Amino acid sequence: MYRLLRRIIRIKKPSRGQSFVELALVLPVLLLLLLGLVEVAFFISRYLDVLDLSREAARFASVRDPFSTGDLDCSTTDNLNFFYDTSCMMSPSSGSATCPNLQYCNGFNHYLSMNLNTDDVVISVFTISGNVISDQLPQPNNYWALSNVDFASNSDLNFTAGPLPDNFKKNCEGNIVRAGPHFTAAQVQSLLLTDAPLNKGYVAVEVYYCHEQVLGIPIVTDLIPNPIQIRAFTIMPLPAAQPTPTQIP
Amino acid sequence: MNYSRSSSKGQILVIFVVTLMVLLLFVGLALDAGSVYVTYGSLKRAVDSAALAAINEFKRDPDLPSMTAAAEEVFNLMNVDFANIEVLLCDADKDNIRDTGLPPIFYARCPNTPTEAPRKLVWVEAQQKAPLYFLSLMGFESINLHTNSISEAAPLDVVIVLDTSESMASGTPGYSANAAFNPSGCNGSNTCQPMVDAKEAAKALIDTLADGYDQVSVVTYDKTARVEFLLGTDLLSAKIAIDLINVHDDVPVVFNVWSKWWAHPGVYNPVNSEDLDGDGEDQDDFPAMYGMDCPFHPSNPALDPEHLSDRWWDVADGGPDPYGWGGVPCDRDDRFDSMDWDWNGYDGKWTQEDHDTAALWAGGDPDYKFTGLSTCIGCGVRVGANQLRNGGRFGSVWVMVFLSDGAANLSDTHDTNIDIPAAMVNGFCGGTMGQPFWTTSCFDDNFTPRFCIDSNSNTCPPLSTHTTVSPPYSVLDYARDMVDEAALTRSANPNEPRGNELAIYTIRLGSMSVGSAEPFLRYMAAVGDDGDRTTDPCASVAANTSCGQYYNAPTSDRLLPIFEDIASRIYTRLTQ
Repeated sequence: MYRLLRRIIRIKKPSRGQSFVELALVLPVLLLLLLGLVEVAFFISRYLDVLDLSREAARFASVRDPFSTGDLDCSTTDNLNFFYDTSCMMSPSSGSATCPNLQYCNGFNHYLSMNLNTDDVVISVFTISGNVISDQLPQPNNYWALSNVDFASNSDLNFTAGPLPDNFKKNCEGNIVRAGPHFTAAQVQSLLLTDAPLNKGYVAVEVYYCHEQVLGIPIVTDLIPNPIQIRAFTIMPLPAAQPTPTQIP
Repeated sequence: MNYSRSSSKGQILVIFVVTLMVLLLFVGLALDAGSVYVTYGSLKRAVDSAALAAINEFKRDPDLPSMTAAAEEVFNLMNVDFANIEVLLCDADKDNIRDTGLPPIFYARCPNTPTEAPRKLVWVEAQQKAPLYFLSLMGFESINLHTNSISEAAPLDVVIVLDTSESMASGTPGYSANAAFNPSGCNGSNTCQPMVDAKEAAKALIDTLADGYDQVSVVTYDKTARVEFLLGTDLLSAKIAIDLINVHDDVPVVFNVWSKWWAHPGVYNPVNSEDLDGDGEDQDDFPAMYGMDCPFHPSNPALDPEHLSDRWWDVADGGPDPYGWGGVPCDRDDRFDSMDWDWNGYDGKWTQEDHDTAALWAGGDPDYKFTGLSTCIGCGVRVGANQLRNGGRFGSVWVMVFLSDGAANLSDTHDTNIDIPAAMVNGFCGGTMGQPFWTTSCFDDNFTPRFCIDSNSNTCPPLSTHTTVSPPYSVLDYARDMVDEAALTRSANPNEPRGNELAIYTIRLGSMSVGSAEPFLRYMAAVGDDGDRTTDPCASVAANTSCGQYYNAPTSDRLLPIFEDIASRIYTRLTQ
């Protein structure tokens, strides 16, 4: 009995060490898989947040007047600025420590921290008469981008021509990767259906958000860019942008 | 022993492989679940947007194919397959009975028409295949997701308020601004212009409402306001009521009043030319006004002094001159004699015929108010807003479309608005001889300052001046107060009474030159767009230009496009 036991112990000793080595080899792979899964789950969750917020913003805009030009402050609800206040849906809730700016606060966004230097909200308004795009807002650029709001001087550069920050044209590293927003006149025009109502208005909200990986797992960050850009859009009907039957004097 | 050792080695490998497989399975399932969530999220937002697109089409007659096409287009724009989209209405076949075969959730939400009032509900359901990546290895290529959304457009309660003062026939042949005009001819043949254009435009607006869902009311105003059609859903009857609207025949006071009266502003009461002392009666207290009585014969007009036949007591004839006019007006208390009716021979002398002609207008009322003024804007606003307050439905969008071709020159009186003290017999055209507003009209050309006649100055609008008398409180101030009572919902003064959520569109017809006409209609539109008088989209817009919810129509042919524009702007409020 004692011999047998000693034998077993002798046998087990080297085996145990081997297991540790094997475990040490296998565990990183398993951990990588598990943590990678958690990372992916975070990503999907953030993507759904961005998607839902783009829907919320478009819904907000769909019942408002695109010609309202109030102040650049999310908290002054009685002074509506159509484009800016629509983008406010993406701002953190009132009093949140993650507010990037006191004027960009009071929104629905509890989880994302919009970085005004890299992220963007792009809003475009289309007026379609006779199934042809007849007008776009805002002029002169045909789109409005949150990154073109100059908080330092409290001015909205979207209504000026000329070189603008236009974060949405860049990826998270700051390299220009696209020439314009997803919804351009050509894009919308190509997707209109001939049997749909001839005269209508649409508002498109696009969100560009640089998602920092939460866990920052070494090999994953090498394979997938960190931060990675999440893009989501929603287009909704905007009755207030419908064409007027004739030019009113 | 060897077996045991090798078995132990293999065990770790087996455990690893098995664990890896199980882990991969979970990773795969998790990724597929994530993919399903993402697809569902984008489908849900597309369905919400499609439901909005469909409900927007409710502004016109509910038409299922156009609603479906509108919903499909939104799906296309959002890059979602629209092959499996279903749009349903509560009563798509328009038999006024709730359709059967609707999904149970939607059926339960639909009102049980005709017992219950119809609601503008649209159901949009769509399905989409969510691709599966891991499970496709096991033969499950995709999973069918479907979701639905119910959207509701609030019904509309629209009040159309039209001006029917005599100038609404100003485009009719024979009309002259400088002579008496009888619109009965063009009323009979329905050819009074611009009234006809205004009526056609109003009917076109009614045509854009949804039959059976939306309510409309028609109100007209001139000297007073009348409800031509009570707020209701019978759109056809409302249009018939509009056809029956007549232009008001103003008493031609300004054309027939004695020329010496006309020559001096403030010489007679514009709200009632018979009532020179402003107490509402033909009987005047001349001693109080002039210090002496006019020397009429107590009972027989035939025995009156000859020099009073033109109803002017000249200084040369012994008359007083308290106002520097070289005389004073005098009229008999027992006759209608403030005017010389020219179709009885404008002879510059009062005769019994003049009284008889006037008596026809008065219709037996000895205190009939002879006035050439007929634009009681405050009356129109008040009666129109009351239509909504009394008959407007909870949850519907309240809209007032207000057309005027002039500036306010009359107000309600105690008879029509109980809040006005009975002592103010002329409403807020009050005044005394030779004083404002007893000029030839009671216009208030000064848009600012605004006066407030509330019993407590705490409730006055900001920047207004409190007063207890009229003047300075004018018919224009009254009209503004009626606008505030109807639609003001925000004010810097917390004590100021609030009105209702009411969208007001105003139209100014013609190019009436009275300075306060356009500022007032712009004020009304500024209050009527968001309930806040301080947010005025017209603030920096040049005069005689449309802006915000104010429209400027220099000619009546502009009315139809303007009413169409208003129809397209009456937002269908989305409640879900």
